[in-house]
Amino acid sequence: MSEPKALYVHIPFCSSICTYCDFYKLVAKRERKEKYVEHLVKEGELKKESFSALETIYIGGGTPTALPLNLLDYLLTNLKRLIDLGNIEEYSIEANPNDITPELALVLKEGGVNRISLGVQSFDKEKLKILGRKHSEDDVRKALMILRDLGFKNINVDLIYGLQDDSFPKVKKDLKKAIAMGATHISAYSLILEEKTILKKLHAEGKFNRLDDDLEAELYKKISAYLKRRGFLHYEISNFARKNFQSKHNLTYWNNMNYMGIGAGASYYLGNTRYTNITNIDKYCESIASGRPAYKEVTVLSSEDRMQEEMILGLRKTEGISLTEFKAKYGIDCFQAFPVIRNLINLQLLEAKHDRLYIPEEKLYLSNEVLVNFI
Amino acid sequence: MEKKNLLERQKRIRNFSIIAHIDHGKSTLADRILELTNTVDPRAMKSQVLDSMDLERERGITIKLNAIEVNYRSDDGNDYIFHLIDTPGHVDFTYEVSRSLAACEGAILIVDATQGVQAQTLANAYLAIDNDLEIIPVINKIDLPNADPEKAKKEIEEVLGLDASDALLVSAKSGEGVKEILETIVKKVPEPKGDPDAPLQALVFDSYYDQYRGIIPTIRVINGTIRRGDKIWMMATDAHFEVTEVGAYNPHEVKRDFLGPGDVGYLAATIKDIDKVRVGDTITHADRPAAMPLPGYRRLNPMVYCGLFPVDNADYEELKDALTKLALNDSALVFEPETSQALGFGFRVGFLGMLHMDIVQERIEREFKLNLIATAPSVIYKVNLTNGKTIMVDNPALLPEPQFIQSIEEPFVKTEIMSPSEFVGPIMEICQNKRATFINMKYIDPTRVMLEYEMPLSEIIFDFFDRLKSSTKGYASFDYQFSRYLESDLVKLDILIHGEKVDALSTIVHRKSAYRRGHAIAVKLKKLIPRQLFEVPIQAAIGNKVIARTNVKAMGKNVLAKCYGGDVSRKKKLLEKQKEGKKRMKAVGNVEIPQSAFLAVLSIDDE
Repeated sequence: MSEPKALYVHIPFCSSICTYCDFYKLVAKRERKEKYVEHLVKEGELKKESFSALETIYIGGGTPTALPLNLLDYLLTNLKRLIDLGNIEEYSIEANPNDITPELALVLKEGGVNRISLGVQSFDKEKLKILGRKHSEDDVRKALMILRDLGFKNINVDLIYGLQDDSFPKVKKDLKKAIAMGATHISAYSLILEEKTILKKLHAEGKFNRLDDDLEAELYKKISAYLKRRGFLHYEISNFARKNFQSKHNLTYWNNMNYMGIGAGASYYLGNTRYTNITNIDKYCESIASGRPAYKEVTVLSSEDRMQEEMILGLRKTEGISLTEFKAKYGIDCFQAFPVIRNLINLQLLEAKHDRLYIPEEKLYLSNEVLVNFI
Repeated sequence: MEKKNLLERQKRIRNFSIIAHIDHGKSTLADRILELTNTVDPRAMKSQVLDSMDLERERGITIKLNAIEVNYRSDDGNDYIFHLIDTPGHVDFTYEVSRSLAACEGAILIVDATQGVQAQTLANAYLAIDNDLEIIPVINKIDLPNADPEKAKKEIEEVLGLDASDALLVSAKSGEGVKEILETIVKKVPEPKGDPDAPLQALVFDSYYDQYRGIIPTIRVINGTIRRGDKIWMMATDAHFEVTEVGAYNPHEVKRDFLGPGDVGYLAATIKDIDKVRVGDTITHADRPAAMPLPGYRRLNPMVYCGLFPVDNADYEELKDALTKLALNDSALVFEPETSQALGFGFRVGFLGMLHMDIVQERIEREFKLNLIATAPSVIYKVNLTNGKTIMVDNPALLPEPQFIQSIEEPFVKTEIMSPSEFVGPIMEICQNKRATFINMKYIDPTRVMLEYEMPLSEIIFDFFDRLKSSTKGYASFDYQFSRYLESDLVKLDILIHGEKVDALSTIVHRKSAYRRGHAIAVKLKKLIPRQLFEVPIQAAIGNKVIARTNVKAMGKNVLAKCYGGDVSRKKKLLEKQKEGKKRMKAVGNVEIPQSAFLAVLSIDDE
């Protein structure tokens, strides 16, 4: 088993709860955060043997910047101790624009972080209010200035579209501003109404609506076209990057490669086995404190499962999957493993060219219709 | 047993049915009788013992026949053997009712004291009268505050023409008056005639399949005696068997040494071949046969046909097996293979009516776990061809091209609708819309009216009942029987999906309503067919002429925006759910059509 090349670190805290988010997160007191980070580092210690081949680190959440500065410092210092940062090409952290201060940016810088993913979602006041985001356009501008001054060159901006009043002119404004402020990577997600979110509840009460599917499909195509004109590569369903700024960490997932993870609710994938940690913070800490692994679920994937996932994940990328790599990895020809590919090619839902199999870009917005055939 | 004792025993047998309109309390009364006679331990009593199928209990109706032996010590000091033969109350099951009644000498006629005589009370009472049964009128639900027993009595006399002066007043729910019913049965229901020494004549009135003992016929012995070891001959199917067991139901099977005249029970004879047991056949001894079979009963012909197809073509054999097993004790169910271009291999199945159809479908899905697609039901058309020949068509897809058709006749039925008089207006309006011809209107009393109409059966299967119920707040009841074939101006309405004619969606409609209905079906299908990868036109056409058209737009978006690491298992669940949904669809050409669409032609609001 080769050692994983990516490490995910989970911080399940937020300073406030966004209306669309269904991830496990808490607005917690300082003591609780301290206790958590302490155990998170401890889990890192327990697993440090498997950190030798790491090339990317991703600290996500929740909102990692919801940690008090000294705790964040403590975490980064310890990760630096456990991991040889010399080999790390990409070190990302998710951040709220209004959390970015010169002090925080400096801690990140010193901790070795070289990529910031900003949860901007939009620059539109009304939209930010509906989404429950607490920052303003000005906050984002300031944050990006601070980061630029400290030499951060790799900046992702998360945007959300698909609210009932969204139109292309409106979304274009967001894209334009993100680019003007120096984003090198843009994740443009369509809004999903998840169960147990505030928006879902408002939707059920008739107080909130999503954009109609047809209009959203149009919007999606226009977003892609616009960003391409502005020099971005559309490299995954919802992700766009300047040349060489694709997220290496996320590509590890989409290439269906092994990855390590630490933290409550984090998952990791080693060999052919996926582990998922306990979500509840206290139980997680308890487990780590006693020196036991903190997973609650272990799934051993058959080679069929893995081939399925290879397709489900790989076809998210515009470049799709490599047929020779598939064969090398699973010992079977991709077309043989999934005869349905031929039909999908006939239906023009898939294309095979130069060793690659992929969903044509103009059909990406229907990708579930393709992927369901691999289940 | 001595002959004297046998005759003595026979004198104490009473065979009876309970007949009623649906919900008038038949099964509740049966339960009380079982309790009162200690046939079933009250503590072990499931509500409505006779309704043994889940489906029956859920719908509160009795579908299958049940025959239970009950021992009763009468006030006259003698012990009696009752056979309670249950009957279905619904209009579709008239045939089954007549089967039960043929095994009886008496019938308890229940009338709900709050509702009075209803359409099926009438239909069932006439059947009992036809069968020469002693009818005991019982007025039930007298415990309800709005009960009006006097009015119910009056209706029994005026509408049914039965003497109701001795009608028993009962609350099957509380048990009040039930004992009096049992005493009345002893006194009024005639003892079975028949000679225990005569050649055997036993009527098969039901049968079911037992995994270990084969097919088990339920029988009523008319003459002679049947025992274990007897060699028997089925007179109609000409099959021979050796009896391995005889018994009765109490309500569970109890083995007996013999069954004599008047006895109702079962026999086992290692019968493997379903075709050898026909309901209505007469069983006699092979070595000493009866001279004549008993008068069987008229086999009722199906009135409504529909196509049943497995969603998964691989389930064809299983569907065949399911239908074969159901037909075993449902002789009104007929089926033959059918091939549809759209739906593949399946069966054309004939039913007595819509409820019968619903129940059969539901039983197949539940008891045999098969996913079905049912096409819209059709009546049987008599098509007179230009070459002078006449053919019967029960499948709209098989209607010849118009140039070969001289005329088409369709079955008409006579309906009797009973309703509070305030709803006469709405009822007349519905009937007019349904191409009905008014025959007669009769006031049962100042507040209740009975309307008679003649109308095409096809209009009845096309949501007549739902409409009648909704415009009379559920108060109207109705019954119908076939009257005759009449010529109508009919055309075949085809549905084209993505340019392809879908045979399973063709219907035969009256020319006048073809446009309206074609449009309504197209609109309905647009709602039911999920969006595909491409735009799908839906057209309704008569011959080559398109009379209505709509489009199902191409799919909007279907994508999961975000998916990281551990998310993949969540994503997989999402896709699995989506795939599950697709399983219930049928691909016609490149278009995936849900099961419900094939019945769309039925439930459209075409006014």
